[in-house]
Order: sequence, then structure tokens, then C-alpha cells
Amino acid sequence: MFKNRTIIKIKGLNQERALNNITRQVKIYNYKREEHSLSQFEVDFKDRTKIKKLITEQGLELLSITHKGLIYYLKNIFLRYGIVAGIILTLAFYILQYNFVYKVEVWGVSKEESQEVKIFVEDNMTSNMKSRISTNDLEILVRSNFDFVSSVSIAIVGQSLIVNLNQSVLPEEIEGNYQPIVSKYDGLITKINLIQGTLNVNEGDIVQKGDILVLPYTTDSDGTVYEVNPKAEIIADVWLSTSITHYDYRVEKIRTGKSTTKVEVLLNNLLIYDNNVDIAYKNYEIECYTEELTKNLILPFKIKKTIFYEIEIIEIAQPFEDVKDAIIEEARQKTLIFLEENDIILNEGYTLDEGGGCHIINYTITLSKNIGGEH
Amino acid sequence: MFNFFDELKNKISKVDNNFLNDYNLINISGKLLYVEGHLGVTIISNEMLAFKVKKGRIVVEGEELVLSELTENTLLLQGKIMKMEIF
Repeated sequence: MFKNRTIIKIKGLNQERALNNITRQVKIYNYKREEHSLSQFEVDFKDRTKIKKLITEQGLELLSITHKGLIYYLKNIFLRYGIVAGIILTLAFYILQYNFVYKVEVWGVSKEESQEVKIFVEDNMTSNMKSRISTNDLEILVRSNFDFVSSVSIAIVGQSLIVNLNQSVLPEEIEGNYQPIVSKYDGLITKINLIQGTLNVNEGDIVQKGDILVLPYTTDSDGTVYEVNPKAEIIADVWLSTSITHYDYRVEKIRTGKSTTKVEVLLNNLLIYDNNVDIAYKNYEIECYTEELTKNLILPFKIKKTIFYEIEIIEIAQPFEDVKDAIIEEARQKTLIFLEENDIILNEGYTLDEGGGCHIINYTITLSKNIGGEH
Repeated sequence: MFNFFDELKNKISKVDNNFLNDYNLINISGKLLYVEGHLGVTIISNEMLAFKVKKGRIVVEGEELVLSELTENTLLLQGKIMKMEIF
């Protein structure tokens, strides 16, 4: 056990000659020949590096190399038990530090306010040790020092101190931004139900989008003005309309599906490469875009692509009467898009204007809806 | 300190004792063979060990032979040593 040796297994022919050469530099112990070409021997632990080189130089194959002895044993223990000791130390450190709070988190309020509370809590923590922190005392302190806090609960979770806050909520009538109610649509007011605020319009008035409907204040019998959040239900007839123009004779461009792409590589708007394409189309449309050739390139190479789409120009002669119903339906569908949930359609219809080879269908839907919205 | 080989040399000092410097073999109870002055092993097996010496070759036969130690000019052989021949 106390002799520090390296055990070596080798394979090869003419081992005697090799051994004679090896023993000139290294002392060999316990040489055993297991087979003609297979043997095992020991060398001093200090020679373990040298012997590898010598065996290779002698043309022998090194099958295995193991160590024994006190130094190796101690080294092994150090390596194995060192890891175990490291784990034990880490666990011990973890258990020790687990008794401390290292982070304070504040939930339920805005970032600025939470920062304020966090600093306050950190300043008022008597210790970072969990057992010495009184969450009840901290709760009382936070509640009494911050007006915007209506309730607070503090708990230690893991190594974090969680401060959960509920903000004070002011009554809706008091809290607000005091903005007037404005009309969201053009329309004719048919019914008003004022809840809060001062009316600026009357039934029968025609209003436009953006007009003020209810002002954000009330005046009492003494003439004192109080700011309030205006609230009212203002029902109006609202008109939604869409128009479609039909030309009896028109020219349209249609892409044939053929295209040609011209590629240019630019360096600071200087042309470096061009694929020299010829555009053989009689009529074409152009789409063009430029992009970086590669990202993270020091030189600002750009690639410019110009796509030429061949088009065909066709003349269309289509009498209005042939497509009238379809156009009216199309106009209706386009108008219906603007409808919202719970809108009540009172009336719908269209007008037709014509002249100069074109017909204009104007489709109108009359709705009854609350144009005051809600604040 | 007592030196076995010096003692031997002293005892035969009247004759030419140069040959004493060639090689030495000590066989202890047929179980251990110490050799100094070898010039390289030529055969190693469990039953045989052969090595060169000055002006010749020595073959050791036995059973369960283990070359316990081998240096450039000494060796220690363990096992049941049954025969030693000088050629």
C-alpha cells in the first residue's frame, strides 16, 4: 500500500529487448508474462509519465495503466472526498444562507411606488435573518406610512420577502380625469338620459363626430361648480354610408404571371454587380426593394432587386344595368362592416347618381345608437 | 559493514580474482535469485528466465517465476527455482 507504483499492461513482440532498453532509464518491478505477447509490470509512481513514452518508443502497445500506493491513494481520496467535501460544504452554506432574506419584492402597485415601499421595508427590517423578521410589524408600518395602501400582507417565501399591496380605490365619482363626453358619430339626437354632468346638446340636435355632448361639471343651486366624470346615455340616429362608382367602359391592367428580376449589388450607392437582364415585355409594372446583403458585415453592401411584372391591358365594356344588383349588394356589404354589436338598424337604402359614363351607388344605413359612449 | 563479496575476494586474493567482477548470482533457498552484472534479459516466462552475462548466457528454470525487480544490470527473481545453467 505504501509503495507508490504504476501498474502497466503491455502487448507486443520481443518484449525482452524492449525491457532491456526500458530498464536503462526506469526500474521495473514484478514483471509477469501472462502470454507470450502480453505482460504486466510495475514501475515507480514517479516514472509514470516517462514509462508511457518509453513503451511507445519501443513499439509496444500500452493496454492499461493503473496506479497503487499511498500517494495515489491520497490523491484519489483528495479527488473523491474533495468533491464530497465540496458538496457538503455547499449544502452547509446553502442551509445557512437559506435562513436569510436577500430580496424584497413588492407586488400590486406601480413601479415607482413599489420602489418606494421596497426601500421603506428594507430600511425597517431589523435583520435579514428570517427568524428575526416580524412580518406583522412590517405590515402595520407599511399600512400606516403609505396613504395609497389600503391593505398589505407580507410573507417570506423562500429567500424573498413578498410585500403584497392593495391600493386604495377612490369612488368613481371622485376619481376621474374630468373629460367631456364627445360624440363618436355624426347623427341626430333622439333621446337623452343624463346621469351626471352638464348637457351641451338637446334632443333634435344634429351633431358631428367630435362635438361635445356632456360637460364634465355640475353646478349646484348656489352656483358652485363641481368637477365630475360626465355620464349620460345619448341615443341618436346615425347614418352609415358607402359609395361605389361603376364605369361602363374602363381599362384594366392584369398581370400575366411572367416576371423578370434585376439584381444589383451596391456599396454605398456605388454599383458593384448587375445581372444585366433584358426586359422583353411590352407592358410591365415594377416593384423594387433594397435590403442589406448580409448582417454584421463591416462593408455596407446592399442588394437591390427590381421585379418587372408583365401586364396585359384589357378594355372592359360593362353596362351598369347588367351588374346593378351586384353593385348594390356590394355597397350594402361594405356598409354593414361598420356595424357594431347591438346596433339597431332603423332604415337602409341607396341613391343612384349617373353621368359621364359612370354610375355612383351611395348606400346608407340608419342606426339608433348611443353616441355618448361611457366614461 | 560486512560485505559478502569483499570477503570472498579477500579469501582468494592470491589468485587472479578479476573474474569476480563479471557477474554475481545468489540463490536463496531456491526461492529467490539475485543477479548483478547481467547484460540484458533474453527470455522471460513463468517457467524460464534467460539473461546475458559477460562471456556467456545464463538460463534459469523453475515454476511461477516472477521478475520482482529489473534494472539495467541487476534483477531479482522470485519463484520455485529448479535449475540454473551457464552457457
